[in-house]
Amino acid sequence: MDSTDKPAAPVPLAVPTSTAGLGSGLLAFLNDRYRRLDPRWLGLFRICFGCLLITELGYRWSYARLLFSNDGVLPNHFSLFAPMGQDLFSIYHVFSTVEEVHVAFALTLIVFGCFTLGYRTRLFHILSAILITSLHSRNLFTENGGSVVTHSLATWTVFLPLGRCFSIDALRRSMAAVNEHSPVELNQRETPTVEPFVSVVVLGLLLQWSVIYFFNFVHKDGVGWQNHSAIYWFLYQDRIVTGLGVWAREHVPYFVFTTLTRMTLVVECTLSFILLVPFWQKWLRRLAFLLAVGLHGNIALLSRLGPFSYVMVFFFLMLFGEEELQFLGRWFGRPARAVTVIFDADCGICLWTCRLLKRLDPWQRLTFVGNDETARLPAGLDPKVCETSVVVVDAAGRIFLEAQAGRRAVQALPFGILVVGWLYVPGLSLLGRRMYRWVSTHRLAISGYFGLGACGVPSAVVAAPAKPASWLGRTGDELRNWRVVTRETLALVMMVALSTEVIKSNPFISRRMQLKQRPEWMTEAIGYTRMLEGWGMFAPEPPYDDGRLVVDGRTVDGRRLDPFTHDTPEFDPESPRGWGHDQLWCDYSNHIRWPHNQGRRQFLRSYLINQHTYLQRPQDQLVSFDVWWIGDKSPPPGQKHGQVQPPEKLVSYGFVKDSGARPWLAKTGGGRP
Amino acid sequence: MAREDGRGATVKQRYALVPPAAAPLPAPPVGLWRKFEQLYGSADPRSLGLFRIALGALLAVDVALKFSEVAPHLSNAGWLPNHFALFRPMSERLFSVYFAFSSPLEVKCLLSLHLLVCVLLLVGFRTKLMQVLALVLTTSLNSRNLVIENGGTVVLDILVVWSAFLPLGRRFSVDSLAASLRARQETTEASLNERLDPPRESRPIVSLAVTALLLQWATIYFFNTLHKNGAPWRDGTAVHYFLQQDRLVTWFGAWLRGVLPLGAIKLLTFSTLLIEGSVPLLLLSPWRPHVTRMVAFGLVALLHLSIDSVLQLGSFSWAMLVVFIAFIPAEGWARAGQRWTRWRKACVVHVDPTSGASLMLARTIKRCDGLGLVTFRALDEASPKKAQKGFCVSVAGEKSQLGWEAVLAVGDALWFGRRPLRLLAPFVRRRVARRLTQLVVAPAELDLDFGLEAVPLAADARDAGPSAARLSWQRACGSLREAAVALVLVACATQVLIENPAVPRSLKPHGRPQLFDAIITYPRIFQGWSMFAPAPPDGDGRLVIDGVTKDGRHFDPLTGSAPIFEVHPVGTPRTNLVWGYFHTRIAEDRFRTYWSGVRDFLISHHKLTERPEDELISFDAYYVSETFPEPGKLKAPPERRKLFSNASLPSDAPSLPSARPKSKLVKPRAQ
Repeated sequence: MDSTDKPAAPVPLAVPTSTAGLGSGLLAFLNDRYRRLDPRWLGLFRICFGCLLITELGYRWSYARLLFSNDGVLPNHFSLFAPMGQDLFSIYHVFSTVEEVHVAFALTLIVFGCFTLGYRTRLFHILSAILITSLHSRNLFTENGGSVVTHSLATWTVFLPLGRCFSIDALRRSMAAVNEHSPVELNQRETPTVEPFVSVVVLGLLLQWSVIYFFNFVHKDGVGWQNHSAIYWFLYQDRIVTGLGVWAREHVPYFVFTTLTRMTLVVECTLSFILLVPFWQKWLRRLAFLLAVGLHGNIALLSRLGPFSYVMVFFFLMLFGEEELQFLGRWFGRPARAVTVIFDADCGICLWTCRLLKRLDPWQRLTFVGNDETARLPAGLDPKVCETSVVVVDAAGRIFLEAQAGRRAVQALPFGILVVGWLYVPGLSLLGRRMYRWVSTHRLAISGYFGLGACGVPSAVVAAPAKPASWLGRTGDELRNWRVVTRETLALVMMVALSTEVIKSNPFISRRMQLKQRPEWMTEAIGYTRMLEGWGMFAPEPPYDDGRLVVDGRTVDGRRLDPFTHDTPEFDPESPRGWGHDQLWCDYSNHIRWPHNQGRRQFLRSYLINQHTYLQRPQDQLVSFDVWWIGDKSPPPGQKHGQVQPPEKLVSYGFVKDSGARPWLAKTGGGRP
Repeated sequence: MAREDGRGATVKQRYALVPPAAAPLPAPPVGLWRKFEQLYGSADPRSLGLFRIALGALLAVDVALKFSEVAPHLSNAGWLPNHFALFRPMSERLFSVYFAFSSPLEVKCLLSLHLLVCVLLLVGFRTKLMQVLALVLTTSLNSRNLVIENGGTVVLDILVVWSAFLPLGRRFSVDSLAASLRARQETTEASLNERLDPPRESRPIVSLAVTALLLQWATIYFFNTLHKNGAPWRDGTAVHYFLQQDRLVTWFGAWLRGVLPLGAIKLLTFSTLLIEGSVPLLLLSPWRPHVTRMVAFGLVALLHLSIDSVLQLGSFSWAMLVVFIAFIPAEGWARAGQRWTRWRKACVVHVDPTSGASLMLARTIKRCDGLGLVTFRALDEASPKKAQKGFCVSVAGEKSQLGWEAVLAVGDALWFGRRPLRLLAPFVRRRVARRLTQLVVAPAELDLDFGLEAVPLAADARDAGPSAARLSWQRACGSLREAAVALVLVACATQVLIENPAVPRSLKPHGRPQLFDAIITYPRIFQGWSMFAPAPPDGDGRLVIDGVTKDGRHFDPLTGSAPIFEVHPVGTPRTNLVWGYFHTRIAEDRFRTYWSGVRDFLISHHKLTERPEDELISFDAYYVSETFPEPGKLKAPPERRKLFSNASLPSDAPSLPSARPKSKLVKPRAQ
């Protein structure tokens, strides 16, 4: 019980000791500052990033027909016929019908799920990087800074060992390496030292993030940023603003916006170099994390920009180290979370469960006691109870039995409540109790069924086969060294290729430095991976105008209908509550209006003609429609209404009687509909 | 003297051979259902293993041969770009992973991956995964361009579909070797000499997929015979017409058609019908199936190898042949084993049980020793002196070999003999010999080099068998698999009824679930079997381009020379199968839609060949065709028909979807 009184110290990282000599000392210093990452934080990053990939997929799944199938606005054949990007590659071009797209997305979900859980991490990481890039490349109408950052990070991190900790792979390795047979062995927590990951990839990642912030900062040199009104204008983007943003623009005084604009510039400027400072890194990286959370958290609260804000923040998780884990340990490893688990020592499945719990318990809050160790049982606990149920005793001495005991034990693990929270739901808790009782009654049979041994009989393993120290011994070491050399070379090549892209794509630098030509393979590599490097979010000026698509349709029964809102067409470009568009629709509608996409509007037309069949609403069949782009100039500070722009007709089908755009055209002097 | 005798006996014992042990034969089936199951639903795992090797090799060759066809037929540099194939799909439910790859380089990258999958399938590395990947990639490759689809590609598709349901990796595979090495870690002489432990998989594999394969092949031959009811098949002249197809005939076939008398032609025609007609009966015969199926194998080999020698039909002949390997019965293996044993030489391998590398080598040899002719002896003072110098093998109880010669001696005892090792010798001999010397001179170093230092400590460990849970899981997966096979089988049966004209109209299904259509169409496992039926083609044709280059020459980019309006101009090289199908089919009305692609291909052909001087400024495309003469008669002059020209396409040949957007290659910034 003593061992659970205070949080255990996290396993220290084995830092390579620096050898004598100035050169090697400098190398060790640089390695420590720019090439080292803690695999435990890499594991946590993988979980967060994997969840983001799943969310991103789920979000795009809801647009499967419109954006990713041949029923929608960009069929695969046209995307290949007139590619929207150079060297465009997407595996999703293979899927034509919406049913095929659903199957493809389901398979993608499995891949992302395996990556998140850390099952065969390297394989599923590579597949995830290919699939997320493909997903974004399938329809470049919806590509934005968020998607570029997402697939760039997925590609960069392919080189990192994201599955070394907090993964199914790590769990399986640990289970295979140490096979505990008793509570004493379960309570031995000498975990092997976690080797830090050292690679030039880390430097590449640091530079990548610094580049993003740097160019986003230096390109913000327009009037809106100079007079510090940018955030004000930003909030008047009805397409992307959230409810909170609408509230803020109406109730928050103007000086707050100017302050926020200044702060945005300061934070972006700070983040552009802070990661590269070689001193006080521990504190500077914490500061960077807080600044990023502040900046991107606010952006995410006020607008819908897709995954951008989240990816930018998740990156910083990788930079943390041991002290930050200790900080987490103050919460997850606090004495109040400590529990003692008393289990049936003769039951194979019980022992296996305890082995699993031990590995999910990095702060060692669980102490295991066999029900045959009567001397170690807490006072007041009837040993007979331990014969029939697992018993958990918490730090306050409360005793939990049966399903509640299982729940309490799992709750002591970090984020365990997410797994067992359902047991608090009335009704479900009853189900949990029944399940527990069934398992408890049949535990010996279950143990035998899974080959885990029961009734004190060891499992069927006659003799544990000897494990070699490392795969293929010294030959394997040589292969691993080659792998490291290949990885570092690839990372360096990638850095060089991306630097050329940085020079070409950012006006701040291309004005000063001309890159006349570069090898074709670099262009191809960047095209295929879509690791674009032109960074100028809301730069040089914040957007001063806003707009959206309106379909002025007439149904077979004579109704006016906008199929995208399922309501009568609304031509007023102003909205007191924002339009509630999400990122994908926002990006599509914003791009389709540009003249260079005129050739692609035919598919918007086809989609609208057939939309009633997709939605199985024959009454909504359109006999004629016009698609309009309506927009306005955002109201200047102090004014309530902006200047309405003349509606612009993008696509037409049939003759639309009494066009809803007519009064707006008359008002704005835009001519006839 | 007695002591010397004792030592002699010990020495003799060192060279004594452990007799081969035959695996127990499975008990004969009891009951009608079991007998039926054994007859039509089971296959020997060795046969399936060998079938996998043959299938992997066939697929690998098929893929390798496609590399030269990438630019004209499989990429956007060719006449059918991926966007047009998707815009105007040649079939419903067309799916091909190859559609995602546009440029020739991209397609070649995917083909290389495809080739790797085939090779891994061949060696049996992660076999199930490779089976699934081979299925997806092979059907995709065959769906990329349907103009060049033929009976061979369909049979190949069918083969990969049905075989995907079979456990092909149980024998003769890296997977089975790894599983066997895990199952028992022998560390002693006695355990190494236990030939049946760990046991080799020899129980017959029972699956509906075996039944499906049998039925499928019986169906193919049955309908191919039944549909051959045209006049040339009836009067015995079919082979004559068969050999007249200039686009398919080989040089041997071309020679043969000039020398074969009519009597021989008739004999060959009727033999073909006889063989094709007898194969379904032999395959499905309930009487002595182990004999009838091998007879069928022999007849089919004779038929298809003959066809392949005179006519290039791509993978068709080989795919038809390969499947019979899966039907080799256990009796066939037993007989082959006995015969093989007579040709091989038993040997004794001297093993150092304290060396991990030595044990590992012995364990690997044991697993390759299918004939049971290798005996293992632990090194001791009675071992031959050569054993102190390196890896040592004694043959016939007297002669001991060292180093690479010892490896060859082991090869003599194994089923494959020393020839494959001799082929490898130039590449590996020196390195292997050095390592084999190290095996005795510095075993610890060798163990460290390969991470084998713990092997001698394994103490004859055994892997725990699968738990009940795992067995249940395998059973559940097996049931699901069988259900899937049943579903595909039913879909194929309905397709057989629909597609084959010989099936009476009353038996044809009127409407069936969409799912069945999808099951057939996506992997393109069609079931209409009428190769060269009802009659072999009576004519042949070729696309001839009458082009004019910038410098005024008349030029045909498809031949690289001046246009000749002959189906097969004398002295020109024969086209391969892919080009052969392209030439005859592209002129058909159903492919008229794709003439615009051919036109674009011809216009930019000089870029592909990197010969700017061959750029065409105008051209007309003609289809030149001829009708084959009856036996003994003269050929009629070829006819020509204009298809299109660079300036005009027929009115119903559509252009591409729409004009490309002006800034099609806009490269957006990250924002």
